[in-house]
Amino acid sequence: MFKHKGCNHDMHGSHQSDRYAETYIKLSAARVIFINEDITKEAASSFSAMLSYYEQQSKTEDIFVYINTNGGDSAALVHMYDVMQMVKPDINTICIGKAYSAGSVLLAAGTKGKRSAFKNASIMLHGVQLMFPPITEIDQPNSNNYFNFVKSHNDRIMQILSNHTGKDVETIKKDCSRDMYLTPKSAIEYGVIDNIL
Amino acid sequence: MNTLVLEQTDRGDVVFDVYQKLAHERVLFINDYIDSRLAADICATLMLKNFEDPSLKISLLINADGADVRSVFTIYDTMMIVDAPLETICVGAAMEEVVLILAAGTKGMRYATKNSVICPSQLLHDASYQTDLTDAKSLLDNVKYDNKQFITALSKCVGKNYSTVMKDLERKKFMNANQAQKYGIVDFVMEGKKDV
Repeated sequence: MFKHKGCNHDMHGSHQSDRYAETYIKLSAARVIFINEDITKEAASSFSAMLSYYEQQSKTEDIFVYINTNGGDSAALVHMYDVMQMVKPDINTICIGKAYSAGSVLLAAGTKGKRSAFKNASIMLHGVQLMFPPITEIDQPNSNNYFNFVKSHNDRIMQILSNHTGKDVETIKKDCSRDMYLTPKSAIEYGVIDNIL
Repeated sequence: MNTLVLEQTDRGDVVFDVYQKLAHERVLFINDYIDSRLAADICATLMLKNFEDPSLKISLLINADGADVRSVFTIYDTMMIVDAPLETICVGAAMEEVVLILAAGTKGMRYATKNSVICPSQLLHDASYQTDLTDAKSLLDNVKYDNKQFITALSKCVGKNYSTVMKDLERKKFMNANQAQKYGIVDFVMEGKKDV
C-alpha cells in the first residue's frame, strides 16, 4: 500500500487536478481506474496503459473501472474496448453518475455479472454521431466513402452492444437511432448492467 | 492564488497542497460550480477515506452556487454508500441542487453557518439543445424522472413527505440558516467559536 504522507509537487496527472492526484495514486493500489473525462485518444492511451500495468501486476485479481463521461470519439472508444477484452483479469465497470454515448458501450463491456451503476445514475445509448459538414478535407467524389466508412463503423459498435446486452443487432440499431436514456433499472432489463449499488 | 505549503518531514522538505493536507484530516471542500470532474474526485476521495477507516467521520465543507444534475447524484449516491459518519457544513451558500448534498449528511451532523444562504428548488434543466420533437420528448421525460428522484431523496433527508416538498419547492425558496434548520435541511446553526 502506498505509504508516504505527502505528494511531491512533481507528481501530478496530466488531466486531473493536483488537488486530488494523491487520491487516485492511492486508489491505483486497489486496481481502480476512473474515467471522468471525455473519451479522447489521450484518455484511450492512459486507459490502456493503466490496464496493461494492472495486468502485469496480477493476471487474476479484478480491476475496477468507474465511469462518469459524456462520451466522445468513437475511434478512441474502439481502442479502449479492444484493450478491455484483451486483458486477462475480470473488469468490473461501475457508472457513478452518467455514462452517455461511448461511455455506455464501455459500461456494457465489463465482465458479465460485474457491471453496475449507482442508484441515481443515468445511461444513454445512441449510434455513432458525426459532424456535418465533415471537418476533414474530403473531396466531393470521396464523401461517399466517408459516409460508408462511418456506417460500417456504426455497424461494428452496434454489434459490440448486441454482444454484451444479448439483444439482436436490429433491435439495438432501432433503439439507438434516437438518444435513448435509461434509468439503472431499465438498464438492467436492457442488459447494459447487471446490478445497482 | 497559491495553495501550496512547505513542510519539513523526515524525508526533507515536501510541498503539499493545502487541500490534500486537509483531505488527510478527512475534510473535503465542495466549491463553486460542481461539474462532473469535481464530483468524481469527491466520489473517489470519499471511497478512499471510507476504505482507510470507516469509523472516523468525514467532513464536507460546502459553498457551491450550482451544480450539474448528474454530479449531485454522483456525490449523493456515494454518500449513501459509505459507512463513515458524514458531517456536512454549509459555509456561504448551498443553491438549488446542492442542498441535497447538505441535507444528506448523517442526521445530527449537518450544520450551516449563521450567515449562509440555502436555496432549495426543484431541478432546473441545465442544458440547452436544439433538437426535434421526438428527442425533446425523451429529454423531457428524463428531466422529469430526475426531478422525481431528486425530490424523493430530499424529502427522505428532511423527513417530510414527497408531495409537501414538491409543492414547497415549486419556486426557488430562499432560506437563511435558521429557516433551513426548521425545514429539516440542517440540524444546527453554527454561531461563534463552537467546537465542531
